[in-house]
Amino acid sequence: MIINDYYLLPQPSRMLDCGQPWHGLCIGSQITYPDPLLPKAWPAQPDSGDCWVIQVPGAPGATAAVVDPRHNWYNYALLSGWWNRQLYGKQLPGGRLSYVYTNGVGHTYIVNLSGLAITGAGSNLFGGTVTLSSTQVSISPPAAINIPTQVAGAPPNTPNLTLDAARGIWDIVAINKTGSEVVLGFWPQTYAGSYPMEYSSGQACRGIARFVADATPFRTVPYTYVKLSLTEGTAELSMLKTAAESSVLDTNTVSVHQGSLLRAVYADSSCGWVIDTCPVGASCSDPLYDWVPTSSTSDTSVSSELLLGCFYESDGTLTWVSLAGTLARHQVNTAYGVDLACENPEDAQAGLDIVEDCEIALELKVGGAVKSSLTGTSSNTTTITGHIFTDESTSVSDPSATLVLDGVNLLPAEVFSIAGYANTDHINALLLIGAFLSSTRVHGVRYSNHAFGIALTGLIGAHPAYLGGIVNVLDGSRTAPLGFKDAPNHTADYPYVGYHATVQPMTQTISHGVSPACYV
Amino acid sequence: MADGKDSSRLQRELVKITDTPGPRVKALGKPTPRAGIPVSSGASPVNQNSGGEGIASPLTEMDYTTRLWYLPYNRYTTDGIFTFTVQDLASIDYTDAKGRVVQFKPANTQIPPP
Repeated sequence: MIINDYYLLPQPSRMLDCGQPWHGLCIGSQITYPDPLLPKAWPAQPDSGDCWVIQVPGAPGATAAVVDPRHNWYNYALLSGWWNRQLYGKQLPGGRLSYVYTNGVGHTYIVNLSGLAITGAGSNLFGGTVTLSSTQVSISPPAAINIPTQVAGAPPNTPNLTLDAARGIWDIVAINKTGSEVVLGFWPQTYAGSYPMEYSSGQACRGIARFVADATPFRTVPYTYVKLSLTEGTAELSMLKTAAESSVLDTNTVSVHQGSLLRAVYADSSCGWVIDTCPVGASCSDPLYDWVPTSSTSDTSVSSELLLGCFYESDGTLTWVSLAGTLARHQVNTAYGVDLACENPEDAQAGLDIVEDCEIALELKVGGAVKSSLTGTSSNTTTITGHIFTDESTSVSDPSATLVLDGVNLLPAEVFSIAGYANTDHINALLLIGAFLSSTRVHGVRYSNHAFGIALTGLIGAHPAYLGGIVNVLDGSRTAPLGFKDAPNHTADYPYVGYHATVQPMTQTISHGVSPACYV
Repeated sequence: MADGKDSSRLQRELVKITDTPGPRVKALGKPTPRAGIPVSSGASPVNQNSGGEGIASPLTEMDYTTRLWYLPYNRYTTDGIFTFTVQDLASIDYTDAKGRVVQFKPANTQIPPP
């Protein structure tokens, strides 16, 4: 902190501006200014691109023209980073569980949520004490205010919110501009009861936890979202989204008219063959079973929507970011040459064309509007021809596929099928749905609090990752796709940890690159 | 050696010189581009008890505990995050080269910055 332009007359002096005037994009613990000759060392590089604005009602702002181009006297402050969240370049006492709450000048506090915890025999209770420390600068600062939590709408002295299920990990995922509201995300301790969930700075989770199942790493967004509302004397908890609401899988079978190819064929003593049923009055031998083509159609689809996170708009609106997926499969079986009546079965010719079309669409939505998308199509025709019982042959023709991410065709895509799509595991439905693209998996990425995107792993050949464009959720823009990314910075484990994006919450400027960066 | 009459006359002349206000200075020239405090705010009248002489430089503050302060008020960082409690100087005592106390009494300027 510095004081701008003070007079040291014998006495009295006067102070014009006071505060933290060094602002900009911090990379490598250094702020870069438009004038490259004027870099400014920063105490510590923020450990993520998360950047939150604090707007104190009544903040005075700058008083006079500033002649030093390195000095920007903003009437707002920025919280930077995540695990070691910092203000003025100094880590807040609770790290990732700290932020700033303000009720106006002179009523501003450093908030520490370290006193909140998941408790109870079922690990499904959440509450505790919120600590507010005044930002009054004094040799004898006011005592910290400790506020017990209270469940919204519950009788007085109800401190613990009952979560929707057992939870073991929680973090702050969104902060509004006065700190009067924050959104907390919760994860279980284990995935599917057997895979330990990991959440640490070392894993660079950044609001997304991680687990390893059968040697394959997965990353999971929060299951449950809770809102914490603060005043100078109250701390109120309320449920925002349960797991059932934050991850929805809808298996929608539109229509299925698909006959079995395996049919019972009976010898008809009068002239030939009948299918399925022994004629009335006839004496049928044991049926023969073989394929007999029949025409049919099949339409199936599945849709899913998974919340990736949320953020506060400048007007205070809470907006959700989600990854929505739809998959559709359309199959047409066309049989021909089937006339078994009075035919010598050895002479009966038959054929079947099976045309299978699949479509996949995975869309990153901000407030319901699509900002980034992955679409794919797959089509192939299988033709089966031959004599009944003998000389059957199968051929696949006309295979084609497309895979387009943010307008870029990622051909050659592999022909895929969504047969067996019905995965009822909600939380990773989309990731697993992505597995139907051969070995490819689709990730919803949270680069930082205002930067999201879609990433693919294990896509093609030696490239372990492909990154789509980065969506700036504040202004709705999206960068061009980032393209293929290779090891060691990008692996199937963390395809996007080697790439960073940060958004200045006031100017809405996005910056992204291979170096960790954050606005300060 | 002056007689008593001359002595009295000299004293009257001196008093006349020292006590008769000259053309009053309304304001000094701009000390700095930002200075806007009227010079009269911090002016010290001639000490009537000084035996008729002016202030002898230098002025030295001998005991800062004798300072007096106006009531405290708050100043805020430009972003409004931090609060400082400030007290403006109300009175400060200096001792001049001849051991005489000169008291400065700035006006109360609890005004917001320009």
